[in-house]
Amino acid sequence: MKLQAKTDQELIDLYVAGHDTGLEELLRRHKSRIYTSIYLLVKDSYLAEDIFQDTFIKVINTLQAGKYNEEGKFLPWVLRIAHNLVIDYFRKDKRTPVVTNGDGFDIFDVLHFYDESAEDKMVREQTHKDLRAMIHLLPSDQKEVLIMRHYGDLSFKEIAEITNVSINTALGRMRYALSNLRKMMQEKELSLRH
Amino acid sequence: MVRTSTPALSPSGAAQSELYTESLGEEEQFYSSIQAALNKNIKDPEEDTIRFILNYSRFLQERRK
Repeated sequence: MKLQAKTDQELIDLYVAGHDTGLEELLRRHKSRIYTSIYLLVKDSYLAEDIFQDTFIKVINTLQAGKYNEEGKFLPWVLRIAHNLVIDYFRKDKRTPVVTNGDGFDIFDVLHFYDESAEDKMVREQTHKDLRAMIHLLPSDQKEVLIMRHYGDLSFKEIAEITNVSINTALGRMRYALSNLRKMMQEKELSLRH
Repeated sequence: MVRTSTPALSPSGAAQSELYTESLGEEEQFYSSIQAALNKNIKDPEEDTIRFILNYSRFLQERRK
């Protein structure tokens, strides 16, 4: 059977049996979701790389020690590890995420940019940056639910377990996140048609 | 997109009563409209990071042998 056709659990079993290809395929399959989730929480690509790496070191240590017992839930498990590492980072450094990202991007520069009618391509690229910036403006509890739901593709039940809240609370935070994004876009007259 | 959970099974095999819907209500349509834009923000880690992870893994695998 081709690696791509195997389930996560089959790949884990393969890896634990000593075949690196199992881990390689798990990384290929999930790296974007995991990395993007981390990146959008910490807003710094270097820090995101470090946390991504630390997350997988924990994953590897657990798998190789034979202590993995989350059958069928590999991605939620990895995202929970990543989420805890992000919390640890902000707790240790007593930092809170800031509005400006690693590129020095500022929402107000973008809004000014929008007042001057730019070319379509630039608008499209900028619009995606706008959305990212607006995600960063959300309260942290709403932002993490949006990231886990959209980029991590987790169910609200899984998100509720990771963040230690009820399913209804997780669902409510997602609704608030979307509502706030919609209001921000309406206020600034931004469009995501592109 | 409305997702409904699959009821979990209790140890006895009976479906638990908790059923919930993942409907986002009136924000559902808005969420659908921004999904493509949200997906434009998907990023990959650097190849060096992946290489480091795989090398770390191989190192541990070798030690186990």
